[in-house]
Amino acid sequence: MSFTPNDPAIVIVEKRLAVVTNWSLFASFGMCFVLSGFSAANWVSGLLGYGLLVLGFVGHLVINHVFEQGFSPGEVALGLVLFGISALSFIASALFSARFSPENLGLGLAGFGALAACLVFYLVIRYGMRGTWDLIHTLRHRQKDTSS
Amino acid sequence: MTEQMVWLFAFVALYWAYCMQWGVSSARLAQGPNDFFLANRSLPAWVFVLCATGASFAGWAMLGYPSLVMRDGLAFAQLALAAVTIPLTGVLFMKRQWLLSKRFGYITPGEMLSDYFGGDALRILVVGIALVCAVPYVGMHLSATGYLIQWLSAGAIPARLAMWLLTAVVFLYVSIGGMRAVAYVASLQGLMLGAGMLALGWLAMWHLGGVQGFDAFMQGLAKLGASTLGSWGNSADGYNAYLHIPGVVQFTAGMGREDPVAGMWTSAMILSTCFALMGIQASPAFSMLAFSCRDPRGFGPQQVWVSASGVGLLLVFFGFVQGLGANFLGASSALREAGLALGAVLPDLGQGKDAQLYARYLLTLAESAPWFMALLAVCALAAIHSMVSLFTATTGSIIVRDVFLRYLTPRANPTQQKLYARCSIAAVTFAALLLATFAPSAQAQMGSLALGFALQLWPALAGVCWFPWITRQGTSVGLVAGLLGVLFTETLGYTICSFLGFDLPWGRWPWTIHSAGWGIFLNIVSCTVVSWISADRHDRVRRAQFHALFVQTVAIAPKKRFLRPVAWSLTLIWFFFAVGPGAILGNDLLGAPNAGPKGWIMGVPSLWAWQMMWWALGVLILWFLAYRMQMSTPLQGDNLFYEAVPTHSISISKESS
Repeated sequence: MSFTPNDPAIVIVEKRLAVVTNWSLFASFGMCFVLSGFSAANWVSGLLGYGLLVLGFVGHLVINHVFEQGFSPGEVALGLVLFGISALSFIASALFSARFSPENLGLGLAGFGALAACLVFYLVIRYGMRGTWDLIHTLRHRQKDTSS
Repeated sequence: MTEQMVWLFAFVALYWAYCMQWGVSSARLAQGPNDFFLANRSLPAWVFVLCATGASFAGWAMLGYPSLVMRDGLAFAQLALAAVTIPLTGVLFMKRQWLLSKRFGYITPGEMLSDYFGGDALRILVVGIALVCAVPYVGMHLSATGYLIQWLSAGAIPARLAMWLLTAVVFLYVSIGGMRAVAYVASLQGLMLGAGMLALGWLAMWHLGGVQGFDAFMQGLAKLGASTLGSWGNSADGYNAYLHIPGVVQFTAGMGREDPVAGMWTSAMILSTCFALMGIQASPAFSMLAFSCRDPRGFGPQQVWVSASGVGLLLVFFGFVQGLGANFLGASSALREAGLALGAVLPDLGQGKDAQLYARYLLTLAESAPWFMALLAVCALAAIHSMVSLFTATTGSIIVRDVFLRYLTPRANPTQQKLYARCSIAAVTFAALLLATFAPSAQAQMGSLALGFALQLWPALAGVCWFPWITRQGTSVGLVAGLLGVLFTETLGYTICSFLGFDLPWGRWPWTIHSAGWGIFLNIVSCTVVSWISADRHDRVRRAQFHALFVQTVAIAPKKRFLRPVAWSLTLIWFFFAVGPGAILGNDLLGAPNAGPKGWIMGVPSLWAWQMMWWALGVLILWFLAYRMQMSTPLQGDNLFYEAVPTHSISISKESS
C-alpha cells in the first residue's frame, strides 16, 4: 500500500518544500553562528555555524533519498553561486578588512574546507572514486565542446 | 536606523518572502474548494507533524510559559507536563475523526457531528466555538506579535502598526493558498518554534554561566527556598511559594474576590489548566487539520515523539531555566536586593511586566549579535503565526460550509465557495485586529474563554469516536452547560452579570479551579444524565453503524484487548500524580524545598525532579496508547477506507457486502 500521491506536481512541490524548509532552518541558524564566530573571533560559534550548514547539507541528502531524486539543476546552481559569493566575500575581507584577525582566517579556512570536504565526500559516496573523476572529466570535456 | 533594526527588517522580509512564496505555490495547486478547505486531503505526514506541533504550542510555550514560570515559580512549571496532555486529546480522537472524514467526506467537524448525532444545534455551536477561538484568541496572539516588535525596536515601531503589518502577510498567504498554504508555511514555523525555544534556553544557561553557573543557580534556588522572597511569600507548610505547590485546592471565592494563599497554582488549578490546554487539539481547527491528512501516519510521531518528547523536554528543562533563571538575572528586584542575583542582564520585570521576558532576553543580544536577536524574534513570530493561520483558515472554511452552504447559498459553485471562504477569512482576521486594536481588555476577557470552550467538544467527540450511548440531546445540553460553566467562571461572565445588575458570589476561577474545569464538569454530568434520560433505541442503532466502521478498521487487535484496562489505569494514575492531587507529593518527597542541593536527592528542587520523572513516564504512557494500543497507528491491511465516499450517508452495509 503506497500513500505517495500520483500527481507529480504535488511530489515536486513537496520535495521543494522539504528542501526549502530544511535550508531555511539550518542556513539561518548556521549563518548567525558563523557571523557570531567571525565578529567575536570565537572558534566555537563559528564551527558550530559550519556544523549546522553541514547538517543542512546532510538533511538535503536525506530528503533526496526519501523522494528518490537527486539535486535539481537549480539547487546545484544556487548552491555553487552562494558558495562562490561566500568564498569571494571571505577572500575580500581577508585582503581588505583591517579588523580581520588570524582567528577569522583560520575559522574561514576551516569552514570552507569542511564544506568542500562534504561535497567531495558526497560525490565519492554517491558515484565512487572513479565515477567522481569521470563526472568531472566529462564536465570538462563538455565545456571544451561548448566553447569550440 | 540601528544595526538591530536592519537585521530585524531583513529577517522579517525573508520570512514574509517564504510565506508568500508558499501561499502562491499552494494557490497554483488548488483545483477546487476541497483543495482550499482541506488541501485536498493530501497533506503528508511530516507536514502534519510540524504544523500540528507549531499550532499546539505556538505562543503559550514560547512566550507565555517562561514568563509565568518567572512570575509564579515551580508550581506553574508543572504545566510543562501539558506537553503530554495536549497530544493526549489527539491520541484519543484524531485517528477516528480522520477515518470518518475520509470515509464520509466531511469537511468540517460541524458536518461530522451533525451527521452523527442528527440535527443542526451542534453544527451551530461548533461555529460559535470556532469563532471564539478565531477572533479574540487569535487577536490576543496578534497583539503579542505587535508588542514583541515594539519592545525590540525600543518603541520605534508602535505595537499596533507592527501587528497590522504582520497580520496582513498572514492574511495574504492564508487567503491565497488556503489550508495547503497554512500547512506548508507551518512546516517551517513548527521548526522555528522548537529552534527558538532551544536557543532561548541556551541563552539563559549562558547568561547563568553555563555548567558552572548551573551549580550557582541551584545554590541560589536553595537560598530562595529558605527565604520569604518573591511575590507569593511562604506557603502554609513554611516553604517559599516559588518552589512549592500551595495545596490540592483552596476554597477561595475566586480571583478578584479572594486571593489564594501562596499563589493560585494548586493541584486543582494545574489539573484544570491542563484540561484547558487539552482543548487546543479538541478545537474545530485541529479536527480540520486531521481531516486534511493523506493518512494517519503522522499522528503518532507528532503526539509521542515531537510533542510529548521534544517539546516536553524543551519545556521541562529549558523553559524552567529561562523562567526561574530570569529571576536570578535581574528580573526580580527582590532577589537583586537580597544579593541572590547571579547577573544583571535583565531589567526588573515585576509589576505586570513579565510578558516582556522573551523580548528582554533577545535584547541582551542586541549589541553583540543583532542577527541572532532578529532571527529569534522571527522564531517567535513564526510560532504564533502557525496557530493564527490555522485558526483563521479553518474558521473561514467552517463559516462557508456550516453557514453559507447550509443555510444561505446551498447552490454556490466552487468559485463562489472559495470567494466566500476568502471573505470569511478576511472578516475573521479584521475582527481580530479591530478587537486587539480598540478593545484589548474585552479581547482578553473573551480570549480567555477560547480553550475552555474548545474543551467542551470533548464529550461530543467522545460520543462520535468511542461511546455510542451518548445521545444528541445529551451532547447538546452538556455542551451548552459546559459553555455556560466556562463563561460564568471567567471575568467576562462576571462582567456580564455586573452589567445586568447582579453580582455573582464568586470571581474568576473559584476554588482555584480553572473555568475549563468547571465547564467540563458541568458538561460531563449534564451529558451523562440527559443521555441516560433520552436514550432511544432507534437512534442508537443509527449511531452504532458509525462505530461498526471503527470495529472493522481501527479496533485494537483481539490479542491486545487485555491491555485496555492496563492502559487506562496507567493514564489515570499518571494524571493523579503528575498534574492532579498527587502532584503535591512532589513538593518535598525528593528533598525539602529549602534543603539545598545537598538535601535534594537528585540535586535539584524536589518539585522539578518530580516533574522530570512524570514527564518521562508520560511519554512512555503516550507511546503505549498511541502505538501499543494502536490509537495513532496507520490502518493495517485493507486500504478501502482511504477512499472517500463523497456523501454524508452511511453506506457501511453496502461496502461490507
